[in-house]
Amino acid sequence: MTPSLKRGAWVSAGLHLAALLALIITIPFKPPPPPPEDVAMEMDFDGDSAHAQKSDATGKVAAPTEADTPATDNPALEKPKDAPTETAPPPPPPPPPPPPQDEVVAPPKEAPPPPPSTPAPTPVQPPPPVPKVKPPPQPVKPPKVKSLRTQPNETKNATPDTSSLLATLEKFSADQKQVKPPTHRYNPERGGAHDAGGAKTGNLTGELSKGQQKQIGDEVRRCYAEDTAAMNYASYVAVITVTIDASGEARLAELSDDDKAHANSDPAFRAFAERAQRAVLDPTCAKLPVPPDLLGKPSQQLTFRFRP
Amino acid sequence: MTFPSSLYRRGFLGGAGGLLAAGSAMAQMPGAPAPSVPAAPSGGAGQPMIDVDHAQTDPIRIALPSLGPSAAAAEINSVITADLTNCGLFRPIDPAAFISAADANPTSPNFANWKAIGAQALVTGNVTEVGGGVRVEFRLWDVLTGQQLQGTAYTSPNARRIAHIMADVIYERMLGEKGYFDTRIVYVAATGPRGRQTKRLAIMDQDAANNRVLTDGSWLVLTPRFNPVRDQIAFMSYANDRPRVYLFDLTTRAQSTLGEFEGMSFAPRFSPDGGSCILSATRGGGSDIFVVDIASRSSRRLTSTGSIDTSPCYSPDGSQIVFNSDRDGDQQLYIMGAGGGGAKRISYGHGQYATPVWSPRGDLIAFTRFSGGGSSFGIGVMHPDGTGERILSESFSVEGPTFAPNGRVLMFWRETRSQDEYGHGFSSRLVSIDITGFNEREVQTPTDASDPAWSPLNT
Repeated sequence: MTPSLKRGAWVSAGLHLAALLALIITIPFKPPPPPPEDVAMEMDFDGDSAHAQKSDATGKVAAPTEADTPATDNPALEKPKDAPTETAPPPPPPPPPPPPQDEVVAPPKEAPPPPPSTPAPTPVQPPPPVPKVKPPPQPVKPPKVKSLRTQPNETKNATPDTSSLLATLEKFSADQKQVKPPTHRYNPERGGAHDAGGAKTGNLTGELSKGQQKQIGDEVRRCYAEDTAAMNYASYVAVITVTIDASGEARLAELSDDDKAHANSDPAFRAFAERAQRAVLDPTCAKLPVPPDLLGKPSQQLTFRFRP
Repeated sequence: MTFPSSLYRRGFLGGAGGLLAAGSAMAQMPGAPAPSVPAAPSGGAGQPMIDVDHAQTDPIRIALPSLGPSAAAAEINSVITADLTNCGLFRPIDPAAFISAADANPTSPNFANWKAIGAQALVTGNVTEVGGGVRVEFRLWDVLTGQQLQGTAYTSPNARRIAHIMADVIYERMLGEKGYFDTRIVYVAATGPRGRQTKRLAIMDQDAANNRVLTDGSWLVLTPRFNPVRDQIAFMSYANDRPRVYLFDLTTRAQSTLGEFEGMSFAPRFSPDGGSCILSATRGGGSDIFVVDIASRSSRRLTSTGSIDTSPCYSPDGSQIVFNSDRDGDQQLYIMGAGGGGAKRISYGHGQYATPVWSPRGDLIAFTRFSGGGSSFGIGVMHPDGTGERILSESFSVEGPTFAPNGRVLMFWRETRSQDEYGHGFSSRLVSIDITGFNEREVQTPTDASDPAWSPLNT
């Protein structure tokens, strides 16, 4: 193709493109008409229906049949057919926020246990080479002592990668199991839980006098509301263990194991128990009048029994 | 149609309580306490516990922030708010109190903001328009624990229906019992001068929306009843000046008589499986109760005492029938087996009883009680053994209770003295009330209304 033809082709293409753009811009766009709205039916219609049954002079008319169905202007009268399609629920939300740890977790009295052995981190790409600098003089390393807690095999990835290591630790932290036996025994008199593994928390209920228990119960009762006409309401009793912080404010409310099973099988009881939980967690009533001499310790518990 | 007196009017209500004359009053039976299962101790015997009892009846405070800027979103929000408010068990929080409406992040709300305004539950979500319909994603949250209680998405061309279903989901999850918002009411709509009103069958949503008429008003119609499993209504019509029970198919709009009886038939009520209908038919000076098979139209007599037996209604399991009868002199409530026989009186209160209807939950029987020669009417409930009678609403004239499908709410109709433009003096309206006796509300029908019957849950 000669240069002149080539130039002509470019000019022609440009003109066509410009014309097309002009058309798009100048042609008026008319949106489609909106769909017709549902019109509510009027109740009053005074005119006689074409199919209305009227008595003749003798008072004898046919019984209403399908053909005698009175005519109305109504749309279909059958059960609503536009039932919504229920689709998969949205993805689950993030887990509920834990209670403020700074208020309910006590500093450990003992030395923290040694970190459990973790699998070797996954291989990562070595970082880009850095300019070599003269390392400072290293102290003399002590001779290696084989430890049960250290990894028996030398890692092949000697390059430190803090972010990768942290990510790996976080990944495996959820799978860690307690390998060390509990150092404290379950003390039922103190309300310790079977699986607590020690006495970090204590149940204060037994240390309260009857009057103090009543005072706390009265405080929670202010926020205790139930649906009194629910089926079997009068037979329901929910036992809830409430964790309070050092100031005596309720932070967590957990159903007893028996009641958890009951709640899973009986939606009405579940609703009853959830209302009880809301009563003790309600900001209006969550600050429980626990005697000051029993406060100050984090993660103490109280056991409540909610009745109708 | 004029009604010379309330008592006379009841004589035409298809066995709705009026076929019997007033009689002597019975002594008031002391209201026995409702039977209940004794509270079983839980949580370990001997373990010290703090007892909390005497709960209040306070509605659940729920926040319903906007689901989006569209008109459909606003309508859905409005319908849900109305449903939950009208049931009396929820108290939607005024949006003006929201700390930040824009904070209603559908997936991770800031619970502190909702807790601060006293919300116990929160509904978040969004509405998007898809192909002529709407898609709604919504989540129900427990504000105090920060947990998601429900997460569901719906797609439908009918935004209003989605809203009712969402309200039902919220109701069921928070209260442990099914809701009743996605339901309908069939009733008798009256128009024209009150001296000669035209009465038609009408149907509407339970919130009085989508009102439509079913018959043209040529003939008086009374006591419509929903089939619990089919889209069908049984009602009494004076067509051809011969009062009989008819079936109305809501899908085909076909009408047909139900059974052949020498006298008038009235007071129909479907069996729980929808396969048969129980009704009354006159014989001599009394009326008997019959059961009619819907498919074959064959009938079988269940009572034959020579007295007026009427207003039969099945128990939810279909094993028993409650009805009213004057066999002992006064109009009282009786229970018998579904096959007939063995009738046992259960009402012993002051006055006469009519229009019994068994709760879908099975725990209560609602009724109309009238005393003082028909000058005072009340809607009440009692346990099927006759104990625990309570009058929920009293008035110059109230009657015809019907239960919501979850057995939690009653609807009935009330007549009041109210002169219209023609100088005639009665107005009849539908009224709903919680079975606790609280939350009485008038249903806003476009015309005078009577004889309501609640549908089962739409499916």
